[in-house]
Amino acid sequence: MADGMTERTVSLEAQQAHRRSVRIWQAIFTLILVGFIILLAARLIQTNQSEHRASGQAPPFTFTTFEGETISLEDLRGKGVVLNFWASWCAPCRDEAPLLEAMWRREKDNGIVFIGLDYLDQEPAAKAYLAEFGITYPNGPDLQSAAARRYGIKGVPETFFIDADGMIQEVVVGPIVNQAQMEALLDKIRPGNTSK
Amino acid sequence: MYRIKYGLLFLFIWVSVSIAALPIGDAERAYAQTGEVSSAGAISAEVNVTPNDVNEVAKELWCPLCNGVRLDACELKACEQMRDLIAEQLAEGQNKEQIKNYFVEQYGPQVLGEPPLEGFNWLAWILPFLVLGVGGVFLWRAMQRMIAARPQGATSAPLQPVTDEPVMANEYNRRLEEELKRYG
Repeated sequence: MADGMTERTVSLEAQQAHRRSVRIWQAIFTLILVGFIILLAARLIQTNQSEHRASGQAPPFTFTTFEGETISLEDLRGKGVVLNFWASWCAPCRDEAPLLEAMWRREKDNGIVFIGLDYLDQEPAAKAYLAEFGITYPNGPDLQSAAARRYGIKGVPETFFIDADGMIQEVVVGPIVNQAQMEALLDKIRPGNTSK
Repeated sequence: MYRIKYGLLFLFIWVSVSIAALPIGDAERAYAQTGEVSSAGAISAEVNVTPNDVNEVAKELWCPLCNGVRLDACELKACEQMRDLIAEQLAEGQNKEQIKNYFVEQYGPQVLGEPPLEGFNWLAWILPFLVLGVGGVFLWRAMQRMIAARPQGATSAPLQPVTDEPVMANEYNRRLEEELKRYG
């Protein structure tokens, strides 16, 4: 009788130990799962933030033109900057190319700089495009889409109008083909302009 | 019974986490404006590079504008220009690795279709193997325990009362044996 009781006690203890073990493993699995979900959520938030189009202070960038000149946005402080993202394979970019070049030629002595960043393109095709439209303002490849990511562009063409203080005043998604629209936008970034 | 339940739970978690940990394509944006398809021939006849040579390189690169489309199968004009450039570089005598390195320099490591080993991306590399390994060990052990719990030589489930309280079952068996001895 005493042996039976001992066996039952041992069996009960074994069962309890097994249940404790299962509970510990359950807790470990739950922790791993919750940790994984938190990591994914953090990554999702980070991705969403990085995909927002830039506003306010213009993100700094440096690029090298196709001619080999290095230009940094910070060096252009004090001037209005028209930053245009484009690509040779982009059909709508062709619609605005003549107007951009015409405006650059007119405004380059008025404290406004035009910059072209070539997005996910190939140098031979890009150079052919620049030659076709006779584009003379500084243009260069946006290597590894570094600036495109910082500015959160969703496509090309996109044009950022940055004032003399380095603040983004306007963003135009798609081609700018209307000269009156372009002039109104340039007025917002003209150095010394007080009607912002 | 609970062993089977936990076995299934492990299997579910293992499969779920394995699926969740699969590398997710980088959120490279697809552009509506890139839909233009050029009908121009991709390769100049004057260079001694065949379309197969180009595709040999292109199939190891990915369209930087699309999600999950290989360069040799992409119909965007941007991709066609990339293939043209590959043809030019091959004609200049560059090898596959040099060309791939050039595109990584221009477009980033995404063009290789692999997430770079930095930041959160290391998870995409390590986690599937970790989950597969750890999950596999747990599944193996759970199965071993289930096999060990089965009576030797049994070909089907033993005729025992099914209960979540094994102590009660032991008590039941003990009393049954006593009764059988008494009246058997």
